[in-house]
Amino acid sequence: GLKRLHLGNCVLSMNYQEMRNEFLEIKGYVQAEDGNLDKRILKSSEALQDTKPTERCCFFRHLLRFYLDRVFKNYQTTNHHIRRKVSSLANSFLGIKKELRLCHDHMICHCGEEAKKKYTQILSHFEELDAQTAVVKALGELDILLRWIEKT
Amino acid sequence: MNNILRWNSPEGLGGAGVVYTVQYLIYGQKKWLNKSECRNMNITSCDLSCETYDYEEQYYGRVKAIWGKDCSKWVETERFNPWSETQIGPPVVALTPGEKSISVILTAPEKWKINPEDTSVSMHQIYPSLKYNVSIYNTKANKKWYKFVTNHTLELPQLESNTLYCVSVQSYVLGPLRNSKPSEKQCITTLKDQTSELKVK
Repeated sequence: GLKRLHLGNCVLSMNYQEMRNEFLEIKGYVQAEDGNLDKRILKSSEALQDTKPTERCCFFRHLLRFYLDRVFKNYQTTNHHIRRKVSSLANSFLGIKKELRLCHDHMICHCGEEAKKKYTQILSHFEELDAQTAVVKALGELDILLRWIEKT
Repeated sequence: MNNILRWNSPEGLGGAGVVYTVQYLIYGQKKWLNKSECRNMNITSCDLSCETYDYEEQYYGRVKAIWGKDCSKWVETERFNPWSETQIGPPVVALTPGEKSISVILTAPEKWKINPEDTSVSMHQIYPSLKYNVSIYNTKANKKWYKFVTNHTLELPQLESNTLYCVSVQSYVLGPLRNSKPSEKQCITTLKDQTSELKVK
């Protein structure tokens, strides 16, 4: 279930299958909480796989930090099973972030205009919504991010 | 990726005189869209394959029941993701017998087409990690075994000559794990052992 993710010169492996299976366990619950079907945070125009290879590492780092600091940390639920799954996903993201740190230290995680612009777009979609609504929607869109990763 | 919306008729009405109307939404877009063929119809399913053809998008479907002057609320599906929820079909299997071997050639199933003349899209293009589970049955020895295969050809060596073998193959994809139905069982007899034939002469 390990997937090798090529982000320009930065190559890392991640437990993609495990993360996808964990998301599937929360998908129905979390997406049912999202009543704003006409809004979307991770839009195709900002897809990771369509980003310049040299800037994918930086963009992906932004996305990881976004999910860790703005989504997983702020998601509230009374459902223990869901909470366990969300924290397990957060741990996977943390592991990936640590691996990405190495690429950053080796100066192969360059941040350019495209990465900045795409991340700003995603943040603005997120901030159009009120806080908890945005967190729920971003969590429910994790399969979009996983699909981007699959295609990268 | 032949995506059909199905529902049950409302309880207590026995379905008599009830008609249904279906709409669908592309997740993230503003408007619910009508499916013209599924307006005021009395069957309880609607084929949304055309409308959900782009498997990179996600969708919602909804249906309401109308009987006489009354109509129900809309009832919505969960968010539907064709890429991770479609059911995979079995591959096409071609067998070629050898004396003590069988060559198996597998062709990945194809994506559902809007028009039969459209170019075929192999499910292998959509799921590069598509794999196969090949089951082989020796009818004489009443023995069955399996082989997991990632590419499209498989050589089954060290078989018995002049023996009937039956092969059936399932496609499967990870993320989430989905198995296809097994392909139609195909049986073939390995060739006679030429060396023993020569001795006899």
